[in-house]
Amino acid sequence: MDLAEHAHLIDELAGSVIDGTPVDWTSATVEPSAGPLLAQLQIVAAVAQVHRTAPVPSAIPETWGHLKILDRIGRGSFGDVYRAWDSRLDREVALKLIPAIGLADDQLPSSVIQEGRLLARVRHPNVAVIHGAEQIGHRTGLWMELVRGRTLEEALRDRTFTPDEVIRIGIDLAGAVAAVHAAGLLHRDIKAQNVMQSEDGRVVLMDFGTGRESVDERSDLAGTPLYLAPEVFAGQAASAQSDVYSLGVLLYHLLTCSFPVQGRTPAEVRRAHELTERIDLRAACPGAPARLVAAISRAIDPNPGRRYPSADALGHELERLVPRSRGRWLGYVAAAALGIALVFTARGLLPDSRARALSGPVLSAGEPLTIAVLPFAYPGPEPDGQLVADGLTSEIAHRLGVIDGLSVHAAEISSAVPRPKVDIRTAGRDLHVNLVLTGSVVASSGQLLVKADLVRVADLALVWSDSFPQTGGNVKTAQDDLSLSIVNRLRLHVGQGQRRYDRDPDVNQLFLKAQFFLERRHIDNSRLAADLYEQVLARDPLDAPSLAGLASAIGAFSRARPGESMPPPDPRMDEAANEAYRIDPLLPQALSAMGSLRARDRDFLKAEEFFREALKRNPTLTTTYTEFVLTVLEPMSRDDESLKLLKDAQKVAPDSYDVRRVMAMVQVDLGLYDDAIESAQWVLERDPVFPFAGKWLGRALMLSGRVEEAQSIFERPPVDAGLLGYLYAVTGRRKEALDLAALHADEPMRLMLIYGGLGDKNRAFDALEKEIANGFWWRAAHWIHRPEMAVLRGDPRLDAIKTRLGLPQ
Amino acid sequence: MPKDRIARDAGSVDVPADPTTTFELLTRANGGDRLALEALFIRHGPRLRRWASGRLPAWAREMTDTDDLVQDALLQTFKKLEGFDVRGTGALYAYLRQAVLNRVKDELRRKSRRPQAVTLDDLAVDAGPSPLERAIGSEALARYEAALAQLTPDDQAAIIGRLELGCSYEELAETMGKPTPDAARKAAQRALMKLVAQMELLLSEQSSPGV
Repeated sequence: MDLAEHAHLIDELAGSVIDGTPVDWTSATVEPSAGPLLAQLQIVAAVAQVHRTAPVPSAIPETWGHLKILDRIGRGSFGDVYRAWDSRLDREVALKLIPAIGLADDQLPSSVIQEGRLLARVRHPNVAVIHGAEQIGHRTGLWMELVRGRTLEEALRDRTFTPDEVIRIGIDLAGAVAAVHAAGLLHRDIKAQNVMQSEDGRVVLMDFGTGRESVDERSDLAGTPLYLAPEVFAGQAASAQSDVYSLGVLLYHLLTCSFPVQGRTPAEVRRAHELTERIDLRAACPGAPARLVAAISRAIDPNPGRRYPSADALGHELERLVPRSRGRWLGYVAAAALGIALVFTARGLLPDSRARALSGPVLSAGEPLTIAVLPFAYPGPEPDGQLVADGLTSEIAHRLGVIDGLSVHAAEISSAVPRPKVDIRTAGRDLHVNLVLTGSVVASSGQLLVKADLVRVADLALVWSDSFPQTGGNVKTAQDDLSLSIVNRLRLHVGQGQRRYDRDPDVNQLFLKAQFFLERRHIDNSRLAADLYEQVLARDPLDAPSLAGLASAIGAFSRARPGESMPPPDPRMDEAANEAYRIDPLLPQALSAMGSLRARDRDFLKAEEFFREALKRNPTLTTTYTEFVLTVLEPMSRDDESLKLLKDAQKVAPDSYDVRRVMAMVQVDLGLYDDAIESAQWVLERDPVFPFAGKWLGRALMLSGRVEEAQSIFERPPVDAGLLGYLYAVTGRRKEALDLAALHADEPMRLMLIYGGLGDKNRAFDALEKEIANGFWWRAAHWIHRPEMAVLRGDPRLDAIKTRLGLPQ
Repeated sequence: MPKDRIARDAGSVDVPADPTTTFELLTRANGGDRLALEALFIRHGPRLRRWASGRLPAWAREMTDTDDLVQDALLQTFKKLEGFDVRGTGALYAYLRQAVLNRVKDELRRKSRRPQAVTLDDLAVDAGPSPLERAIGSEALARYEAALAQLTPDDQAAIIGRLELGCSYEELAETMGKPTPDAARKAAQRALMKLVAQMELLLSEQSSPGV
């Protein structure tokens, strides 16, 4: 073989290697000098072979936790989205799996989970429901409602949206974003690709900030620069206003298929922002209604301070643009000074019989509650009087406007006088409402008297009618008070209507933090919670959930530590609970706070009523369950009921540490030691320092005979001298027990336990009496029926004490 | 559960017949188009996952690990591509491969740091060879890598794209900016010859006097 032939052969072999066709190396004989070259070629062929035949790793796990993965429906840069079957709840869900290593350095899986859990609390028809978030193995998963449909971006490929559609989508999404903000979160990535339009037309906001790769500027830019607010480009942190901006861009995009600020690269978009180069919506979509253009333009104002202050505010503005029904009203509407004003007086048209208040349900089941507020009349001649009545009307409409499940057609006040008279039936029909609220203001000897009537449109039945005297103060506070009373009376009568509390995101953070500490009920945590609620209230003194939380927190920390004397009842708890209840009598937290207040005053009957009402209104309020158990059921020895109630709580809030740890306590008291150990350990595995969980675990271990483990828990600082002394006593270490008793001679609670363990009934009773005399009746009430204090039972002295404390025998 | 669907999906490494070029996708991804970014993942993910599974020792080759690792490497790479001239260099595959290789090395280092009680010796035993090392031995692999590193970027791209990642000649032509698939094949073959010659040179240096 000559050199040329040789080169040809090698070339041919190389061709086979490159093509990936099989080569018979044994028959490839070449000159010895070419041997090494051939050997190297063979190595490279082997490299190619390995790579060609390596298995492609399956990217799809079969299961994840309790979810069975069906197929992948999306492959994202920050994890994949799967369709999965939730075997616990028997339904299909969407599962987003984020690999731990896909997260940025500063983003811990725990923060994704925490954020996911916060999101799980967001309940809004236009926000994808998050079912849960968990870390299993090296992946963080977020499972949520499976929405079938397509994204708005996909929908845009076929067509642009009409102004009416954009208004409606805008209202829904503004509500969705506001709900996310109310949970203390930001979305950060609002865009057409992240909004699904389901098959039935519902728009659903998806893909929250959870799982975004990082918050650093660069990656945000790599994300969706066209939707990014200019201040975020400039390095400022994202905010509610930057979400409003993105939402504005989205609406602009839906109308025009284009973007206000353009560029092919992030750098170009940045430059366009810097040069304030933007395409006016009027120019991009000349046919759009002027008010819609104005609304979107304000949402995307380069100056965040000039944008809508909240997503809600944008939503409200868009709501005003919803085309009204056609018909006779249009003529009036057009004539009114404010374009959409709906102003009429309805006095004299009401049914005469004032005595008749409606019995039976106000509306038939499933009928939506929609109300129009007609301007309250001022029959007198003074023009000032009409101003007061108008102010009152707007206040009422405003207060009704923040009530969920209630659609309000608020009347704008026109300066047109005299006002046309319209009958209620026509008003109701034309406004598509089923109830009309109207009324009048009467001035008599310097005082205002307001009469309000709620009329059912269908049959003009007077649903409810009441008079509200002005209780003092100036006109403004009178308007405030009266409108609050009227709206709350109306809510109580109709029996529904959860009031929304719209807080700025930073204030809401404080609120959520307070809730966190409140749940970890413990003296120090409760003090922290109270401080945080006070900070929220400094911003809005009418924030009823914070007032209620404050009352609960005070109730918890004013219980004092062992060794401290019981403080007198804190009047701030009374004030906060009563004020919360006054402002929002349907607010479950307010009812709960009233329950705690009544329990503190040992009015157990009333307390129970309040707690039960709170749970009826919101069966997911974990602190209400536990406060009910701790302040009413436990002292009354109603342990079986406590356990049942806590099991209910666990169903609605399987993640609540508070519920589990109180459950552990009840289980110990019921002698269900294994269950108690399981409950307490569940909490401690997740939070090794969760208040009281260790204590209940120790008791359960001790009482089930696992003395050494219990001892090591009681000995851990801060040493639980009472239980440790009891443990010494019942395990024959009398001297150690007595030493501890001597050391804690002025702490009757601990003495009671130690003497109880030693079987010294008289000393135990002495200690119990001292505990009650110090004001700790509630702690005594807890302990006297616990297994540790069996020595007291059957003694007439115990019955006497129970009678004295108002506890059942 | 529709197993067959999963199997098909997972087994498919063929690049979807999408007329959009990788360059266009990269440019769009650079401009913030998330869909383009997703398309890049769909296009290149399976191929690089398979590549990585040939390069990782068994213990680190737990399927989901490989997947996450490649996903992460691609994400980091695509994010950095703003400063990367994607046109005509043909270097994309070399670039992506290097990103995944670096990520693999990081992961091996990270894993070796993690179990504190384990000594380096344990680790060496534990790590075991990758399928590639098992096939050709670590010395040959080192020689291959060293020789590859000395080629021009275009030649590297051809070797990596064709032999390691299994690109078709059409794709190779696109990546390398060659007018036809056949031109890409010829370029790849030339690159292979240079690689083999370089490896032989390294071998002869190794076995030269003194060793």
